[in-house]
Amino acid sequence: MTAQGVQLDTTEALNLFLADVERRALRMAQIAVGTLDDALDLAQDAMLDFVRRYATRPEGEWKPLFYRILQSRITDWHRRNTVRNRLRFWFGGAGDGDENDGDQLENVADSRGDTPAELLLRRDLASALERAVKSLPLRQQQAFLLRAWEGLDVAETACAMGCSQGSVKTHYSRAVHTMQGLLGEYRS
Amino acid sequence: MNIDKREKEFLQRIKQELDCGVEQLDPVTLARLKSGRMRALEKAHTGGWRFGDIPRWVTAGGFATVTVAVVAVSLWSAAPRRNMVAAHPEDTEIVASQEQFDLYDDLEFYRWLAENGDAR
Repeated sequence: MTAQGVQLDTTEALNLFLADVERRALRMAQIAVGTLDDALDLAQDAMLDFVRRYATRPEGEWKPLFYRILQSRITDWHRRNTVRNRLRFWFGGAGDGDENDGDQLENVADSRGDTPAELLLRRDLASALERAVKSLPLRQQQAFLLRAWEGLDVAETACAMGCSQGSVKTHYSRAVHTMQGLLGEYRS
Repeated sequence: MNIDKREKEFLQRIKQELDCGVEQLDPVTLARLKSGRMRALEKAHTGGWRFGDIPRWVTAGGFATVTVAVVAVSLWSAAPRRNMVAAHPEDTEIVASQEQFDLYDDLEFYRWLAENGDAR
Protein backbone atom coordinates (compact mmCIF):
# COMPACT_ATOMS: atom_id res chain seq x y z
CA MET A 1 0.00 0.00 0.00
CA THR A 2 1.37 3.45 -0.86
CA ALA A 3 2.08 6.16 1.70
CA GLN A 4 -0.81 8.18 0.28
CA GLY A 5 -3.09 5.15 0.66
CA VAL A 6 -2.11 4.83 4.32
CA GLN A 7 -2.71 8.58 4.79
CA LEU A 8 -6.20 8.31 3.28
CA ASP A 9 -6.98 5.28 5.42
CA THR A 10 -5.92 7.15 8.55
CA THR A 11 -7.94 10.19 7.54
CA GLU A 12 -11.01 8.04 6.94
CA ALA A 13 -10.53 6.27 10.28
CA LEU A 14 -10.20 9.65 11.99
CA ASN A 15 -13.32 10.87 10.25
CA LEU A 16 -15.33 7.87 11.45
CA PHE A 17 -13.97 8.19 14.96
CA LEU A 18 -14.66 11.91 15.24
CA ALA A 19 -18.12 11.54 13.67
CA ASP A 20 -18.88 8.94 16.34
CA VAL A 21 -17.75 10.98 19.35
CA GLU A 22 -18.41 14.58 18.30
CA ARG A 23 -22.06 14.79 19.38
CA ARG A 24 -21.49 13.29 22.78
CA ALA A 25 -18.41 15.48 23.17
CA LEU A 26 -20.48 18.54 22.34
CA ARG A 27 -23.19 17.55 24.82
CA MET A 28 -20.64 16.90 27.57
CA ALA A 29 -19.06 20.28 26.94
CA GLN A 30 -22.47 21.95 26.90
CA ILE A 31 -23.44 20.38 30.21
CA ALA A 32 -20.08 21.45 31.67
CA VAL A 33 -19.99 25.05 30.43
CA GLY A 34 -23.68 25.85 29.98
CA THR A 35 -23.70 27.53 26.58
CA LEU A 36 -23.91 25.94 23.15
CA ASP A 37 -21.49 28.34 21.45
CA ASP A 38 -18.75 27.80 24.02
CA ALA A 39 -19.37 24.06 23.86
CA LEU A 40 -19.02 24.09 20.07
CA ASP A 41 -15.74 26.00 20.33
CA LEU A 42 -14.42 23.52 22.87
CA ALA A 43 -15.46 20.48 20.82
CA GLN A 44 -13.95 21.90 17.62
CA ASP A 45 -10.70 22.87 19.38
CA ALA A 46 -10.51 19.40 20.90
CA MET A 47 -10.91 17.78 17.47
CA LEU A 48 -8.20 19.98 15.95
CA ASP A 49 -5.81 19.37 18.81
CA PHE A 50 -6.53 15.65 18.86
CA VAL A 51 -5.76 15.27 15.15
CA ARG A 52 -2.61 17.35 15.46
CA ARG A 53 -1.21 15.46 18.44
CA TYR A 54 -2.56 11.94 18.40
CA ALA A 55 -3.56 11.00 14.84
CA THR A 56 -0.58 8.69 14.56
CA ARG A 57 -1.35 6.80 17.78
CA PRO A 58 -3.09 3.39 17.65
CA GLU A 59 -6.84 3.64 17.16
CA GLY A 60 -7.51 1.84 20.43
CA GLU A 61 -6.04 4.79 22.33
CA TRP A 62 -7.97 7.48 20.50
CA LYS A 63 -11.05 7.68 22.68
CA PRO A 64 -9.35 8.32 26.06
CA LEU A 65 -6.87 10.66 24.39
CA PHE A 66 -9.61 12.65 22.68
CA TYR A 67 -11.56 12.98 25.91
CA ARG A 68 -8.38 13.91 27.75
CA ILE A 69 -8.04 16.93 25.47
CA LEU A 70 -11.72 17.80 25.76
CA GLN A 71 -11.78 17.55 29.55
CA SER A 72 -8.60 19.58 29.76
CA ARG A 73 -10.20 22.30 27.61
CA ILE A 74 -13.30 22.26 29.78
CA THR A 75 -11.19 22.62 32.94
CA ASP A 76 -9.26 25.49 31.34
CA TRP A 77 -12.57 27.14 30.40
CA HIS A 78 -13.72 26.97 34.01
CA ARG A 79 -10.44 28.45 35.25
CA ARG A 80 -10.65 31.34 32.80
CA ASN A 81 -14.29 31.85 33.65
CA THR A 82 -13.50 31.99 37.37
CA VAL A 83 -10.84 34.66 36.78
CA ARG A 84 -13.22 36.61 34.52
CA ASN A 85 -15.98 36.50 37.12
CA ARG A 86 -13.59 37.70 39.82
CA LEU A 87 -12.49 40.62 37.65
CA ARG A 88 -16.12 41.43 36.88
CA PHE A 89 -16.89 41.35 40.59
CA TRP A 90 -13.91 43.59 41.48
CA PHE A 91 -14.71 46.15 38.83
CA GLY A 92 -18.40 46.15 39.70
CA GLY A 93 -19.68 45.08 36.31
CA ALA A 94 -23.00 43.27 36.38
CA GLY A 95 -23.06 40.20 34.19
CA ASP A 96 -26.18 39.55 32.15
CA GLY A 97 -26.31 36.12 33.80
CA ASP A 98 -28.87 34.45 31.60
CA GLU A 99 -27.02 34.53 28.31
CA ASN A 100 -28.14 31.60 26.20
CA ASP A 101 -29.03 29.41 29.14
CA GLY A 102 -32.07 27.99 27.46
CA ASP A 103 -32.84 24.35 27.86
CA GLN A 104 -32.01 22.77 24.51
CA LEU A 105 -33.93 19.63 25.36
CA GLU A 106 -37.13 21.61 25.74
CA ASN A 107 -36.79 23.14 22.28
CA VAL A 108 -36.47 20.01 20.20
CA ALA A 109 -39.33 18.13 18.64
CA ASP A 110 -39.93 14.54 19.65
CA SER A 111 -40.77 12.43 16.61
CA ARG A 112 -40.92 9.02 18.22
CA GLY A 113 -44.73 8.90 18.47
CA ASP A 114 -44.95 8.50 22.25
CA THR A 115 -48.22 9.22 24.02
CA PRO A 116 -48.56 12.67 25.60
CA ALA A 117 -48.10 11.18 29.08
CA GLU A 118 -44.93 9.40 28.00
CA LEU A 119 -43.73 12.57 26.32
CA LEU A 120 -44.33 14.57 29.46
CA LEU A 121 -42.52 12.01 31.58
CA ARG A 122 -39.64 11.84 29.12
CA ARG A 123 -39.36 15.62 28.93
CA ASP A 124 -39.48 15.79 32.71
CA LEU A 125 -36.76 13.17 32.94
CA ALA A 126 -34.60 14.90 30.32
CA SER A 127 -34.90 18.18 32.14
CA ALA A 128 -34.31 16.64 35.57
CA LEU A 129 -31.38 14.64 34.24
CA GLU A 130 -29.71 17.70 32.80
CA ARG A 131 -30.20 19.62 36.03
CA ALA A 132 -28.85 16.71 38.05
CA VAL A 133 -25.73 16.25 35.92
CA LYS A 134 -25.06 19.99 35.90
CA SER A 135 -25.34 20.08 39.69
CA LEU A 136 -22.45 17.62 40.09
CA PRO A 137 -18.98 19.02 40.83
CA LEU A 138 -16.94 19.14 37.60
CA ARG A 139 -14.72 16.14 38.35
CA GLN A 140 -17.70 13.97 39.36
CA GLN A 141 -19.55 15.12 36.26
CA GLN A 142 -16.60 14.15 34.06
CA ALA A 143 -16.21 10.74 35.70
CA PHE A 144 -19.92 10.05 35.50
CA LEU A 145 -20.35 10.99 31.83
CA LEU A 146 -17.18 9.24 30.68
CA ARG A 147 -17.97 6.02 32.56
CA ALA A 148 -21.76 5.79 32.39
CA TRP A 149 -22.37 7.40 29.00
CA GLU A 150 -19.22 7.09 26.93
CA GLY A 151 -18.51 3.63 28.35
CA LEU A 152 -14.83 4.16 29.16
CA ASP A 153 -13.39 1.77 31.73
CA VAL A 154 -11.68 2.99 34.89
CA ALA A 155 -8.18 3.08 33.36
CA GLU A 156 -9.36 4.94 30.24
CA THR A 157 -11.32 7.40 32.36
CA ALA A 158 -8.26 8.01 34.51
CA CYS A 159 -6.26 8.73 31.35
CA ALA A 160 -8.99 11.06 30.06
CA MET A 161 -9.25 12.93 33.36
CA GLY A 162 -5.51 12.97 34.04
CA CYS A 163 -5.87 11.46 37.52
CA SER A 164 -5.45 8.12 39.29
CA GLN A 165 -7.83 5.19 38.93
CA GLY A 166 -8.63 5.48 42.63
CA SER A 167 -9.78 9.08 42.13
CA VAL A 168 -11.96 8.01 39.22
CA LYS A 169 -13.64 5.34 41.37
CA THR A 170 -14.27 7.86 44.14
CA HIS A 171 -15.65 10.55 41.82
CA TYR A 172 -17.83 8.07 39.95
CA SER A 173 -19.21 6.43 43.05
CA ARG A 174 -20.14 9.79 44.58
CA ALA A 175 -21.69 10.92 41.31
CA VAL A 176 -23.85 7.81 40.98
CA HIS A 177 -24.97 8.16 44.59
CA THR A 178 -25.91 11.82 44.06
CA MET A 179 -27.69 11.08 40.78
CA GLN A 180 -29.71 8.32 42.41
CA GLY A 181 -30.73 10.71 45.14
CA LEU A 182 -31.69 13.47 42.70
CA LEU A 183 -33.47 11.26 40.18
CA GLY A 184 -34.91 8.72 42.59
CA GLU A 185 -38.48 9.35 41.46
CA TYR A 186 -37.63 8.41 37.86
CA ARG A 187 -36.12 5.05 38.76
CA SER A 188 -38.17 2.16 37.40
CA MET B 1 -34.12 -7.14 42.53
CA ASN B 2 -30.63 -6.62 43.95
CA ILE B 3 -28.89 -3.26 44.25
CA ASP B 4 -26.38 -3.85 41.45
CA LYS B 5 -29.10 -4.74 38.97
CA ARG B 6 -31.19 -1.73 39.94
CA GLU B 7 -28.18 0.54 39.61
CA LYS B 8 -27.37 -0.94 36.22
CA GLU B 9 -30.90 -0.33 34.99
CA PHE B 10 -30.87 3.19 36.38
CA LEU B 11 -27.62 3.95 34.56
CA GLN B 12 -28.94 2.32 31.38
CA ARG B 13 -31.96 4.61 31.48
CA ILE B 14 -29.78 7.65 31.95
CA LYS B 15 -27.60 6.58 29.03
CA GLN B 16 -30.68 6.19 26.80
CA GLU B 17 -31.89 9.62 27.79
CA LEU B 18 -28.53 11.24 27.10
CA ASP B 19 -28.41 9.46 23.72
CA CYS B 20 -31.86 10.84 22.88
CA GLY B 21 -30.67 14.38 23.59
CA VAL B 22 -27.74 13.89 21.22
CA GLU B 23 -29.91 12.47 18.43
CA GLN B 24 -32.08 15.54 18.53
CA LEU B 25 -29.41 18.16 17.99
CA ASP B 26 -30.56 20.78 15.48
CA PRO B 27 -29.19 20.78 11.89
CA VAL B 28 -27.31 24.07 12.30
CA THR B 29 -25.37 22.73 15.28
CA LEU B 30 -24.65 19.48 13.45
CA ALA B 31 -23.39 21.44 10.43
CA ARG B 32 -21.05 23.46 12.65
CA LEU B 33 -19.77 20.27 14.26
CA LYS B 34 -19.17 18.71 10.88
CA SER B 35 -17.38 21.82 9.67
CA GLY B 36 -15.07 21.65 12.71
CA ARG B 37 -14.40 17.97 12.01
CA MET B 38 -13.57 18.66 8.37
CA ARG B 39 -11.15 21.41 9.38
CA ALA B 40 -9.43 19.00 11.77
CA LEU B 41 -9.22 16.29 9.10
CA GLU B 42 -7.82 18.78 6.62
CA LYS B 43 -4.98 19.34 9.05
CA ALA B 44 -4.44 15.58 9.30
CA HIS B 45 -4.25 15.39 5.51
CA THR B 46 -1.99 18.37 4.90
CA GLY B 47 -0.13 18.13 8.20
CA GLY B 48 0.56 21.85 8.12
CA TRP B 49 -0.22 24.49 10.69
CA ARG B 50 -0.68 28.15 10.06
CA PHE B 51 -0.63 31.17 12.34
CA GLY B 52 -4.42 31.33 12.12
CA ASP B 53 -4.69 27.91 13.77
CA ILE B 54 -3.51 29.34 17.09
CA PRO B 55 -6.51 29.98 19.34
CA ARG B 56 -7.49 33.63 19.59
CA TRP B 57 -7.02 33.77 23.37
CA VAL B 58 -3.42 32.59 22.93
CA THR B 59 -2.61 35.28 20.36
CA ALA B 60 -4.35 37.97 22.42
CA GLY B 61 -2.56 36.87 25.58
CA GLY B 62 0.77 36.70 23.77
CA PHE B 63 0.30 40.14 22.25
CA ALA B 64 -0.58 41.61 25.66
CA THR B 65 2.48 39.98 27.27
CA VAL B 66 4.82 41.25 24.56
CA THR B 67 3.34 44.76 24.83
CA VAL B 68 3.78 44.85 28.60
CA ALA B 69 7.35 43.55 28.27
CA VAL B 70 8.25 46.21 25.67
CA VAL B 71 6.77 49.02 27.78
CA ALA B 72 8.52 47.76 30.92
CA VAL B 73 11.91 47.53 29.19
CA SER B 74 11.57 50.97 27.57
CA LEU B 75 10.54 52.59 30.88
CA TRP B 76 13.40 50.91 32.67
CA SER B 77 15.98 51.95 30.13
CA ALA B 78 14.63 55.54 29.86
CA ALA B 79 14.54 56.19 33.60
CA PRO B 80 17.33 58.50 34.99
CA ARG B 81 19.93 56.63 37.06
CA ARG B 82 19.58 58.58 40.27
CA ASN B 83 21.65 56.22 42.29
CA MET B 84 24.76 56.85 40.21
CA VAL B 85 26.82 59.58 41.87
CA ALA B 86 29.42 59.73 39.15
CA ALA B 87 28.72 59.18 35.51
CA HIS B 88 32.34 59.32 34.29
CA PRO B 89 35.63 57.91 35.66
CA GLU B 90 37.09 61.34 36.34
CA ASP B 91 34.02 62.24 38.42
CA THR B 92 34.55 59.09 40.44
CA GLU B 93 38.07 60.20 41.17
CA ILE B 94 36.84 63.57 42.36
CA VAL B 95 34.23 62.02 44.62
CA ALA B 96 36.69 59.49 46.03
CA SER B 97 39.32 62.01 47.07
CA GLN B 98 37.89 63.81 50.10
CA GLU B 99 40.83 66.21 50.58
CA GLN B 100 40.21 67.84 47.18
CA PHE B 101 36.70 69.03 48.02
CA ASP B 102 37.79 72.41 49.46
CA LEU B 103 39.70 73.15 46.27
CA TYR B 104 36.67 72.42 44.13
CA ASP B 105 34.39 74.43 46.44
CA ASP B 106 36.63 77.49 46.03
CA LEU B 107 37.43 76.91 42.38
CA GLU B 108 35.86 80.24 41.33
CA PHE B 109 38.03 82.13 43.84
CA TYR B 110 41.25 80.45 42.66
CA ARG B 111 40.35 81.16 39.02
CA TRP B 112 39.74 84.88 39.90
CA LEU B 113 42.96 84.94 41.90
CA ALA B 114 44.93 83.52 39.03
CA GLU B 115 43.53 86.03 36.55
CA ASN B 116 43.80 89.10 38.78
CA GLY B 117 47.06 88.08 40.44
CA ASP B 118 48.75 87.90 37.04
CA ALA B 119 47.30 91.29 36.14
CA ARG B 120 48.95 92.87 39.17
